[in-house]
Formats: sequence, structure tokens, C-alpha cells
Amino acid sequence: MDTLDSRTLSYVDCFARRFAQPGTVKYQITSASVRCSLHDEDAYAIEVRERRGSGKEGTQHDVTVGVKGGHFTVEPAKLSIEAGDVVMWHASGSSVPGFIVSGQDGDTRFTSASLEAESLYTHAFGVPGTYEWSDVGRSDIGGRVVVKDLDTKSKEDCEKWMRSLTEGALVTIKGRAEPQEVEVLTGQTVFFAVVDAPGITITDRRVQAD
Amino acid sequence: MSDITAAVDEVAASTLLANAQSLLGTQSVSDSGSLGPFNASWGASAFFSGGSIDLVPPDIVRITDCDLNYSLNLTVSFDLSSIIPDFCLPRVCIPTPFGRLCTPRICIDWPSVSIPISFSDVVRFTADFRFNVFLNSSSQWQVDAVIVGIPFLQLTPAATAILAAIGLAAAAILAPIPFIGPLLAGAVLLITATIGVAALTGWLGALLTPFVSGLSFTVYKQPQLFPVLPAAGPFDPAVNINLDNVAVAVDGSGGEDELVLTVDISA
Repeated sequence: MDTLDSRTLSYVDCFARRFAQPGTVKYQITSASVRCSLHDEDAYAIEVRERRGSGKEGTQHDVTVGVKGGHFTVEPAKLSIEAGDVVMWHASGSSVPGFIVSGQDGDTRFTSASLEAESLYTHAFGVPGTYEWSDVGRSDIGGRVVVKDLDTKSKEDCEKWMRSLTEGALVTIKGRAEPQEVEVLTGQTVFFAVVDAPGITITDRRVQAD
Repeated sequence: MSDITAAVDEVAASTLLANAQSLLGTQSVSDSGSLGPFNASWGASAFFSGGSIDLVPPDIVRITDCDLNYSLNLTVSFDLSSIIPDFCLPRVCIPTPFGRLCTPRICIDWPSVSIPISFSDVVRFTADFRFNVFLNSSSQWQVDAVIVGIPFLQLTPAATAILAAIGLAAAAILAPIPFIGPLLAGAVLLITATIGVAALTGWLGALLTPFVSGLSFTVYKQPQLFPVLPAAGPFDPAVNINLDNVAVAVDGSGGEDELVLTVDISA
């Protein structure tokens, strides 16, 4: 089963956000399946410093989300970045239950459950098929991902497929998704970069119908 | 010279066989164990039908072309990671509006799977029976036909069919597992090859042979005290005779093979 739904981050998903303003960002990792928080989840901090130098592209910082003793954990727990850097959260493995990243960046609240500008969601597609996705909110933003199966009959086919897994497709969301349709192979990753949107989800219509 | 002699021909003996099969009914067995490197649990039920009697002097009843009809419910369980190597999605880096971003390397944990199989088939066999005549605990003379040796069951075609069914079921169960698509054909091939026709034939033989190996059926049953005349009054008691000895043989001296029952009696 391959579920495309940005509201729940699984081990084949990533959520990233660019932090443009200096200051302290507080965030939490919460369960996607439990609507009411049963614990006072620890708030983690990201120190965003002034950027040194200009014109330089931001750096990516990875945060690994795990689970220990029934609580989510993150590694590293403290992060110091420069304004313009990107933080990417991902699960440490398949044993980590679906989670949400949410926090406060200055005056702006952000959450992986509702993607706004400066955020990015990735999903590695594991099962072939056509994924019609849309926003479960009010916007009419949507698109299609066609995941093609392939038959690896020979060692060469396997090697070719493995090489193809390092390639990904990009969907940029700026009022609408562009391109509307992308085609990938089983195992490839699609990056959904939200440049301008009112807080959307990227959710398979079949999930919405359930 | 015996006091009573009764004989049945092969046609009548075949009727006895049909009655015996009906009395045996459906037998069942269930167990669990291993099937090659995999865990397996199964239930099997079987009944006999058909066959004809061939009487072979001096003491063999040959049942020819008897059908062992069986149904099998088999579940093969295993950890998929035991047959598919570890697999990780590599880092994927692409340029985005926020700069060049990379996903982490993602390693896939293959799940444990269970493959249920239902299979029914008929295996035909021929077996020789000998007679066992004894006085049972109810003081009845009983004649049982008891199988001699263990007949060979030709199970390779069934094993091949079961293996094909396992392959089909495995493909259907594995297909929805994320990222297995390109590895699916290899995985199914590995599962069926790991079990193998030879191992499956041996397993099937061990499962089904007990249904046949202990096979016996009662041909004749008669109380030792045989009533000849019922009591007709206080001074006219019942007349009974005692069956002292019962013997069974196959006699072909009359031109046709017959099952002959001889009884010695006393008053």
C-alpha cells in the first residue's frame, strides 16, 4: 500500500521548510493519527542566525525523526542555521508512525499538515499506478503523478532501474501545480515545492474518498 | 470340511468396497511445521471413492484405481527479508525553488507475509489388501480387509500445481508492497524455487500417505452366537448355534475368482 498524503509523514516522505528570518524557531513532532495530544510533546528549537555573505545558496540541514518510549525524538535536537537555510525532516525508518511537524517561525505558524509558502514535501512512490492528487482544503490545486512499472528481467535492467532512483521529479506549486502531470518510475521521488499557496495538502483522491 | 460356505464374486465385492468407503467418510488432519525454510500451517481432508475389486488367489483383494479425493488449506508464512536482499532508495537531489535539495537514503524494511493456498485434487492408486479375521470385543466375528504395504501416490503433478498456485498467490500478495514491483518476478521465483517441487512432493506424500497407509475396512461382521429359531414358549427355547471359526480366502478353482467365507459351527 502506497499512500500519498502530505498530512501524514511516513518513512518514504520528507517535509522541508526554508527559514528566511533570523530568530528562534520552536517546533514539535506530533502523531498524525492522534488528533488530541496525549503528551506534552517536547518543543525543539532551531536557532536561525543572520546570514553571512549574500548571494550564497542556503544550506540543507537534515533532522531525523525517531520514536523512543512512545515519544517522538529528533536528531539533532538543537540546530543552528543561517537565514535562508532549509531544514528537512524525515523518519528514521518504517517503524516510526505517521507524524506531523508543526511550529512557530516568528509570527508565522507552520505545519506539514498544511503546506504554505517556503515549504516542500517529497514522496517516494513505491507502487505503480496513477495518483490523482488534490488539496483537501478549499483550493482547486491538484495534479497527477503517473508511476510506471518496469520489468527487470536482467541484471542490466536492475542496474538501470537502480540508477534511475537517484533521479526525481519536481512539481512547483505557485497558485497552481506546474507541471500538472509528472511521470516517474516505481521507486522514484517527486518533490512538491510550495512557493505560493494558501495552506494546502497533497492528498491522493482515493484517500479522500475513504 | 466347513459347515457353512458363502461366496461373493468381484461385482458383489465392489459393492462391499463402496459401502466401506461410505462408512469411512471424510477424514481430516491439521498441523503446522516447516515447508523448506518457511513456516507453514495446513489442514487437509480426504475421502475415498471409486475403484474396482480384483480378487487374487489365495488371499489378496486388490483395489484398482481407487481415488483419494483431498482438499488442502495451506498457509506459508515468512519474513520477506529472508529472500529479498536489503534495499535502500538512494539520496535524490534536484534543484528546487529553495536551492538544491536532497532526500535522505531510505532503507526499506520488507514485511512478513502469509500466503494462503486452497487446493483440491484427486490422486488415483491401486492397493492390495489381506484379510484379518478375529473375534472382536463384542463377541462378534469380524473380517477386515487391511492394506498391505503403502501404495505409491503419484504426487509430482499435484506438487507442481500447488507450487504454481503458491507463485500466483505470492505475486498477488506481494504486488501491493511498496518498491517490490521491479523485484516482484524475482521474489516470486525465489519463493517457488526455495520450496521446490521435490520438497513439496515429499511434504505432500507425508501429509497424504497416512490417509491411505492405515486403510482397512470391515467386510463381514457376525455375532459368535447365531440365532436359528426364536423362542416359541416357556418349554420351547430359542435355538442358537455357535460360530466356532471363520475363515476367508480367495478361490479361483471354479473358473471365476470368488471371495469365500467358511464357518465352522457347533450347537
